[in-house]
Amino acid sequence: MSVKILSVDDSKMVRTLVVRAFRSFDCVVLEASNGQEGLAVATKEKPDAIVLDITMPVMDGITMLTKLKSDPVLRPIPVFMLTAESGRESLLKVAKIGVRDYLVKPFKEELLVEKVGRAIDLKPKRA
Amino acid sequence: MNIAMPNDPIQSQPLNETQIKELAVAATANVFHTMLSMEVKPSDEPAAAAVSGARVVASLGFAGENVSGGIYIEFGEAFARAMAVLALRLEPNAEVTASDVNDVVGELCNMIGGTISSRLTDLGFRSRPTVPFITRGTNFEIELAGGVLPRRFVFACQQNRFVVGLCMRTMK
Repeated sequence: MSVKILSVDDSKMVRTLVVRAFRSFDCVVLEASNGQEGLAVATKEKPDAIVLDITMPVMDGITMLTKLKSDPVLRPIPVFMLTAESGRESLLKVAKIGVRDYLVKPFKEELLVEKVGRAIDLKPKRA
Repeated sequence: MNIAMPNDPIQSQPLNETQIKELAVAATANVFHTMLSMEVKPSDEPAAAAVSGARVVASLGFAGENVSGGIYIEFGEAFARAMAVLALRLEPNAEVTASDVNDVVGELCNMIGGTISSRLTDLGFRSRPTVPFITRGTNFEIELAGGVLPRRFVFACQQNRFVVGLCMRTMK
C-alpha cells in the first residue's frame, strides 16, 4: 500500500516541488492550500506524514499543528514544518508544539526526502 | 525530538553598503538556484532600463525593534510567465494564469525576504517579514515614503533581467 504524504502550503510552486520530490517513491502526495483544508484532508485520509507551511491564509500552520496535536488520532502523524524564516524564536515556537523536523525555504527536494525518509518508510516505485 | 537550533544572534553592528548588497545578492542567487535551478548574476546595468513594459512586482516588508524595511522583486511580464511555467513544471508553451504567476513571484519574494530577514536576525537585527503582495502595471515607480529610493540590484538570468529592491533602516 502506498504511503500518503500531505502537503499543506498556500503556494502552488511549493506544493509542486513536494509532489516532484516524492515522484520516485511509492507514495501519493495529497495537497491542501491552507490549514483548514489541511485538517479536513488529514482527518479523512490519515496521511503517513505532513509537510506543513507556517504562513497561510484562512488557517495558518501553527494553528493547524496545534489542532493536529490535540487530536488523539492525528497526533502521531509526523509533521515537517516549512518556514521562510530560520530565526531561533520562530523555530522554538514550532518545536514546542511538536514537529518532527523543519525545512527552511528555499530547500532542495533531496533534503525534504531525506528528512521525511527518516520518519516513514519510503519505498522506490516499482518499475 | 532532536531539531538543530540556530545559535543566538551576535551583537548588532550597523550594516554598510557592501554588506547590504551582499545580503541581497546572496539571498536572490540562493533562492533562484535552489528553487528553479537558475543561475542569476548581478549586473551593472542601470535599474531603470533593466525591466520595461508590463511588469509584475512582489513586495513585502519586515520590521523589528532595531530594523525596518522592505524588499521587492520586479520582473517583466514575459519573464514572470516563463518562470511560472518552469516552477510549476508545465510544458514549455503552456498557458499560465495570472494567479499562477502571482503565486510564483510572490513565493520567490517570500523566500528572498525570509532569507534576508533571517540573516538580519543572525546579525542582531531581529525582524519578521510580512506576507508578500503583488503589483502589476506598466507605468509606476516604487519608492519609500518621503521620496527615498530603495537600493536596486539588477540581476541577469541568460538574456533576461530583473530587479531586486531593498530598503532598510537599522538602529543600533
